[in-house]
Amino acid sequence: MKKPPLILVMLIALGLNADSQVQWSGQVSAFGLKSDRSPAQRVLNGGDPTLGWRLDLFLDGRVTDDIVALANVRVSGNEYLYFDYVALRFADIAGLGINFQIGKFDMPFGNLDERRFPTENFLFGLPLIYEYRTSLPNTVITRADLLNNRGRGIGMRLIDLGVYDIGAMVFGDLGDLHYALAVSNGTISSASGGQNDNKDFSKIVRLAYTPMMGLTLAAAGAMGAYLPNDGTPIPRTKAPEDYLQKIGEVDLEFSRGHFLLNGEVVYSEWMVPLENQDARLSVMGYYGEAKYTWFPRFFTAARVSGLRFSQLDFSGVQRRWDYDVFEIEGGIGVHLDRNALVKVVRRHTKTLGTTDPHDDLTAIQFAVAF
Amino acid sequence: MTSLTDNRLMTRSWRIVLLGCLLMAPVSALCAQGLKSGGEVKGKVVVAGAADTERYMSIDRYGTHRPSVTGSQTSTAHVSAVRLSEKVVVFLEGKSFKARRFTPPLVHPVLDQKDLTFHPQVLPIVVGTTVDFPNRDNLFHNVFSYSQPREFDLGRYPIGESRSVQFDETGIVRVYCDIHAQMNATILVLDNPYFVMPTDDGTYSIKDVPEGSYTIKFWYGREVVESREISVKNGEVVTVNFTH
Repeated sequence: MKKPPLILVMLIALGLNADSQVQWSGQVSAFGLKSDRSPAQRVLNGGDPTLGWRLDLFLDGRVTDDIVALANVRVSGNEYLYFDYVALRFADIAGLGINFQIGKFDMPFGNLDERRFPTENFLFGLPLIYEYRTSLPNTVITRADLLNNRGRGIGMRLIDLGVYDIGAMVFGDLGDLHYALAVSNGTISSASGGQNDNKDFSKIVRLAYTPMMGLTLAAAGAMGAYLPNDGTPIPRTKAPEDYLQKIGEVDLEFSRGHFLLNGEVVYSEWMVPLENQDARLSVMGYYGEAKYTWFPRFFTAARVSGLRFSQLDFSGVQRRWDYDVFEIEGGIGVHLDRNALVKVVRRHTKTLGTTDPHDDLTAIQFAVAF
Repeated sequence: MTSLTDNRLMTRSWRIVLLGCLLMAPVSALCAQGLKSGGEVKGKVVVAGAADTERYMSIDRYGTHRPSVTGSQTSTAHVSAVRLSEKVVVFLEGKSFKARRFTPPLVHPVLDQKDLTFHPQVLPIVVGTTVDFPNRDNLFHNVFSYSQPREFDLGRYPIGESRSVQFDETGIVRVYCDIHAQMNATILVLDNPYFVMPTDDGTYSIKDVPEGSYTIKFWYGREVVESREISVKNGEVVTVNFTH
C-alpha cells in the first residue's frame, strides 16, 4: 500500500475546517467473468472463471471559490491503493478566464473522461487504444526481441489507460472553443508513476470545439521522450531525449435524445534505437462506441476498436512490428436504481496476421455510485 | 331612427332575458350555497434557517477536455436560486377523496430546467395531469425517473425544447437529470386538488374544501415533515401553522 500523499492529508484537514467544503463520493463495482482459455493478453485469469471488485473514491475539497483540491483513490482486487488523480486547480487566474492545474491528473488527450469508471462505461473494458499492450516497451529493445514480443502484451499501451500522469496544465474556453496546454513527466503511451525519468517533459495540446449542443469535435497532439535515463546504454551513444514519441488524435462526442456516440482515431510513432539503426515505428488505432436507451432503465451498447501497426524489416522480410487487432464488444445494461447498474457484456477479439488466439470474454458487472 | 318593428323585437328580447333570469335564479342560489358549503384551510409555514438559495459543490473533474458546460472550471459553489415557495407544499388527504376522480387541469404544470436546477423542487399535481419539462439551459439535460408511479426517460434535448409526461398513478415521483447528478426534484401525484404551494412569505390558503375530516401534510424539500388531523366545516376557516 502506498503512502497517502500530502493532498489527501490536506483534504482531511479541510474537512475539519468548518469554513471549507469537502465532498466525498465514489463507486463500487464487482464483476464475474469468463474468458476463453489461451495465453492471449485479452484473456483474464488464464480463462478460468473469476470474480473481482473495484472501489473508486472521489474527494473534492474547496479551498476558496477559485481553488479546489481533487483526489481519486482506487482500490481493486489486488488490494493496492492507487492515487490516480491528486491535483490542485486554480480557476480564473487574475480574472482572465484562464485556469491552471498541477499534480497528477488525466492529461488532455482523448475523450475517455468519466467513461473510465464502471458506472459511466457502457461496456466492460476500455477501447483497445487505452488498454491493449503493444510489443514495444519503453526500454531499449533489439529487433529480435521486438519480433518475439508480438502479441505478448508486455509493451506500452497507445494511450496509457487514459493517461493519469504528473504534470501541469493551463486550460480554458474561448467561446465554443476549448484549449488545454500541458506538460507531463511521462508520455501519452507511458505515463510516469513518479518523478520524471529523463530530462524531457511531454508537451500536450488539445483543442475542442462545440459547434452545436451535443456535438464536440476535438484534436490533440503530444510529443515527448519515452525512454528512461536509467543507465541502460543506448546504441550509437545517443541520449533518451533523442527518442521521441509523437502522437496525435481526433475525437468526437455526439448525443441527442436517447443516443450517444463517441469515437476516436489516434496515430502514434516512436523513434526506436534498434541495434544497427534507428527505426520509426507507428500504429494507428481507433474506436467507435454507441449507446441507445430503449426505455427507462434499459440500454444497449456496442463498440468496435482496432489497432493497425506499421511494417518493419526483420531480416529482409517486411512484417508488422505487432499483430493487428480488431475487437467488437456488445452489451446490455439495466439501471436497478438511479445509482445502481448491472451490465452483461460479450467481447470478441480478433488478432490478425497469426493464428487467432481464443480470447473472447463474457462478463457481468454490477456498479453502484454513492 | 328606430322602427316600430324594431321596438317590438327589443321588447321581446328583454322578456326572454327576464324569463331566463327567473329560470336561472334557483341555479345561482344553489351555486352560491355550494360555495358557502366549503371551508377554508389557511396558515403560515415557517422554515427556520431556510436560505433562499442553495449552495452545492459541483466540480467537473474531467471537464478539462472540452468546453465547460457550467461556465466555471471549479463550479465550487453553485448558487441555485430556489425560493421557499418552490420547496414547500401543503396538501390534504382524506378518505372521501379516494372514491372521486378529479379532472386534471387543461394547462400543463411546468417543471423547468434552469441554471442546472429544477424549478420548482417539488411540484404537486392531481392524478391524470400532464407535466411539461422545458429545457431553459444552454446545455443538455436528460430528465428521468425510476419511481414506481411513473418511470420515464426523456433523453437529451436542447434549450427551447420541451417534453411532456402524463401521471396516471398517485405517489411520489423522484425526478433527476442523468447528466447533472446534483439536479433533483419531486412530483407529488395526489388524488385530489386540495393542495397549495405557499407564497415566499410562507402564507397559504386552500379554499372550497368540502366539509369533513382530513390529514393536512406539510412537505418540505424531499419529504413530509409534519402531519396533523383537522376537521373542516362549511363556511369556516381552519388555521394551521407549521414550523420546521
